[in-house]
Amino acid sequence: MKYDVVVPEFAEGAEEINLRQWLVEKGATVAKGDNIAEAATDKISIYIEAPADGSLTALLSEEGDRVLVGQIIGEIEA
Amino acid sequence: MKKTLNWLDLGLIDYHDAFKIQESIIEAIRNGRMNETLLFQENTPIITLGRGSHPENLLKSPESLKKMGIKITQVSRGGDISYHGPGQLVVSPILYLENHVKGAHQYVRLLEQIMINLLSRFELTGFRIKGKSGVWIYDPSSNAEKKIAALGIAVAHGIAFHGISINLNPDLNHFKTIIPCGIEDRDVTSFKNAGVFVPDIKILRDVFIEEFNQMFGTKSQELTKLNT
Repeated sequence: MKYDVVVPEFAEGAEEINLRQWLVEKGATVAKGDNIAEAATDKISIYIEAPADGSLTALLSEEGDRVLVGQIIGEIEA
Repeated sequence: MKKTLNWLDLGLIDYHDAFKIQESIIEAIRNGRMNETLLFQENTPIITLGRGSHPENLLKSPESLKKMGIKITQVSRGGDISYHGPGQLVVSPILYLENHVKGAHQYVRLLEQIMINLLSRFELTGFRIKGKSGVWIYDPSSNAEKKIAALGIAVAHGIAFHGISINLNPDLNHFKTIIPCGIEDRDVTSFKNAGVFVPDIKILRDVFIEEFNQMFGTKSQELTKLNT
């Protein structure tokens, strides 16, 4: 089963959010709740967590990309 | 019913030791073992490089900093480069954003407003500058706006941490080793430098707690024993 990795709602209101870095590599095994990516505005770092146990099979956004709240930036295959 | 927060004052402490405590509190809150917490500290001299740091904003070599007794470290908050040291109150509200605000951006703006309200209690007029985070005051002697409180937060698992630093009477020469927050054309200041009454740091802490509770409709109790 596939799960989307999504920029969380608590980032809402931020003027510009960039995907700063992936904290794990494509193909890595992750556990639900692990911080797997970091998005950031000028003064806010937002850690994005894995929605399920599984393998990070797709990175849909690259480091440095501008992202939006609710945007799917990766996929986890459980 | 008002939500109850803990507050804990670590006093003068090494940044890394304090951050370990901050991490243990985050974990305890996440696991439901602790109330949300306002964590206060005053650090021994240290330069912190936020996640958005630019190396060119560090103006001294690590050797020169060592001679001045200033450590340097990478940290997980947002923002650029910052200095922390004695005479500066650092406040880290550790809380679930969704319990208090609509999002991280609103939270940052409210923290700035708390600072502006706090400064007004000490006859200082704080304000924001568009495009530049933190809180500023006007310095008549140099006819310039100067930053008196800096800000940088991180959010993980919906819990906000890191926070703000307020310059009471730190050694402002230490700030000259960096371009604070990467803002080249503006200086930093302090209560002392602004020529107003410099309260005891514990008084500043207590006023912050009052203003925080006022803003978020919370009440706070001192945590006398840390049992994370």
